[in-house]
Amino acid sequence: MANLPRLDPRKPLDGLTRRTLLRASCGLAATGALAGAAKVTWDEVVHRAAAHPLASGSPVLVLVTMYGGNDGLNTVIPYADPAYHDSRPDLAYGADEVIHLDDALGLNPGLTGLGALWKDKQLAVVRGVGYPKPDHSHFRSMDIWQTASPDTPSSTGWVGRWLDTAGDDPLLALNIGDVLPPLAIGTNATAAALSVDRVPKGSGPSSDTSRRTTRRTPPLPARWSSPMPRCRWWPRPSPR
Amino acid sequence: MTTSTEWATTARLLRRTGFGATGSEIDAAVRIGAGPWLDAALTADPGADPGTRATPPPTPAAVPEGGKDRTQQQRQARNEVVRHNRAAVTQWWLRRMAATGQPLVEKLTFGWHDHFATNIHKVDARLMLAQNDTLRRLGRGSFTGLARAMVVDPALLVWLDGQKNTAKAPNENFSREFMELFTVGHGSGYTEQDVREAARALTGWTIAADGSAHLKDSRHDGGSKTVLGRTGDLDAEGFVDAVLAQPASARFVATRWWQQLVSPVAPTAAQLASVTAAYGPGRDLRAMFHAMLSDPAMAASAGSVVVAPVEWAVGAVRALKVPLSDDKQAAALVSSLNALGQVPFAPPNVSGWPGGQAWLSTAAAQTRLRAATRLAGLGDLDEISSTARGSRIDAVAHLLGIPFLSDRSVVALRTVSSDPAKLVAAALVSPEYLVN
Repeated sequence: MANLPRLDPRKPLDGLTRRTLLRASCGLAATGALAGAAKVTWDEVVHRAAAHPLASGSPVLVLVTMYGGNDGLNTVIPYADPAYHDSRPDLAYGADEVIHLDDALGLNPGLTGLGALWKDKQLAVVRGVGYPKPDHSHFRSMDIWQTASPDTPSSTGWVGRWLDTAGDDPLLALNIGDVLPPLAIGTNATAAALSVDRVPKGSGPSSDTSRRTTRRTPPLPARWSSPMPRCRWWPRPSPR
Repeated sequence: MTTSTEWATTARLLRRTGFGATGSEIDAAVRIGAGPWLDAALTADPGADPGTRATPPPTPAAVPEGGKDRTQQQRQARNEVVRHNRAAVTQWWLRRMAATGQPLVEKLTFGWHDHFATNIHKVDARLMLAQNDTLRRLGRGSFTGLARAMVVDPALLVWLDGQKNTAKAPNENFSREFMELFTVGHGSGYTEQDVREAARALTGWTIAADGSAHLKDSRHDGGSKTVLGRTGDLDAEGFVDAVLAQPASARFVATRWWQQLVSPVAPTAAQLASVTAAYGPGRDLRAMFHAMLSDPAMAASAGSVVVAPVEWAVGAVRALKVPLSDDKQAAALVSSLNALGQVPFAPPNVSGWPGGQAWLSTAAAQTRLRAATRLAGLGDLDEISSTARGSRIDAVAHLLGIPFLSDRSVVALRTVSSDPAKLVAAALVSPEYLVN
């Protein structure tokens, strides 16, 4: 813990507290708030994992947000539904192509990893998540997903509000990247920001980590060693 | 440090409408008076400006046809052209911003780019350059003309899939963003039905090989549509006119610019009424800018507008005369801006860059200091080094157009006043330079 930056209400400028910064940036759901959050390094995360490991079986939620949107019908494919084939004569996958989940739904043939998890009973799919009277604005939609507040704009996200109640450990939630999305911002607490600038290349932590933790460190996933995009790119979704 | 109120308000006006402002530029504006200075700046003809003439836009090379049947070598050659074109136009605009004698023109053009945010990573550099020219030409005219040009702007059509919007397969992306982000605002009263009907009005536009946009009748939906209560065979222009006729549109445009130029706090009803009255039925942007920049709110708005990275870095380049003529120098500036999160022609998405205080993060502070140190190392520091050490803080404040420094900043700057480069770098990251 001693290694971790404290969540102090630092004042970047007179009269502008960190919280003001974050609040002011909230609502910019598409771009996220620029970090004012506690910044942590890969080594600090690794050190924490080694020094204070979670109890075996502790649940961990990993959120992967696809900012450009995702074609749901092309991910979990209703291959047995004639309406699917009628509306996508050129794009539709046939029953013989998909990774079968049941007699109506299949995964896109490219999703072999998820297919294997399904077989091992490690995957659940929740379809048709939404809210009444959906707002089709891309930006408002993202706001609603992140704040879980469909009727009125909110300056906090649902992970942030959980952090508000869950104690002041900055590593309860970790955002990959300097830019915190509104999702991760609470009234008093925010997720910590893991800067991807300094994630070590290769398969281990950088040299300034103590040997003790180095040996206990699992290899860094290969995909993390490639540079991540600096800004949240928002390619235009295809027509629905 | 003593500074007159007049100097301070003039400094604010010049910095808000430009990319930083040096003490001598502010001195000159004070001599002619802020009012006459603003009148001249708003009516300036870019063609008459030596700095503008000295930085003509590049001619991007034609991009070879892509496609799956190309060899890897052909694809690489194509990517090379695309990369080169992107770099060339991005560097050009930064050079133009740095060289212009009419920073207001470029600042407004950059503001319109943020408004009609289009990204060069999807759109050909030639189209981006043509859009840039349109924004510069029409950005101080009537919003009617600007909006009509943008609704058929080739770069914007490509960016928002407008050229894929056909009578047979309408695509509502463009019509939605046009209303939500460009002209009237989310929640202003239009319905999903309006979005769909508007998409039909915008069907049929295609981009020719030379980069121009054309309406193809066979792809256009010529049937009757109803958008915001207006019914008829609406086309792109008819759609724009229906949207701009909404009273919410003037308020939307005025509020957006108010928050860029005057104060991050939205205007009061009275302020908004005064600015939209100037905008008027002719949707006169020059009059709107004049009204907001001469509003008493400007005088009360000291230290409220955060300087975004492009304005900050170009301001440093201008004040310190950092050379950009070499492509390497210009590329280094682009790379600093990339680290700071704002590169011209590359907004993060169609709603533009995050505004205001979002730039002042602790993470950004480290990056900014690195960039400031680099710029100070490249700049002309004679004005500081030739000044006696005891007066250097005043000299650097004057150079950067900073009217007042807080005691805290002065104490901090004093610790580095023996080293002109460090002093300038520190002043560039001072709260008084970052927030204007």
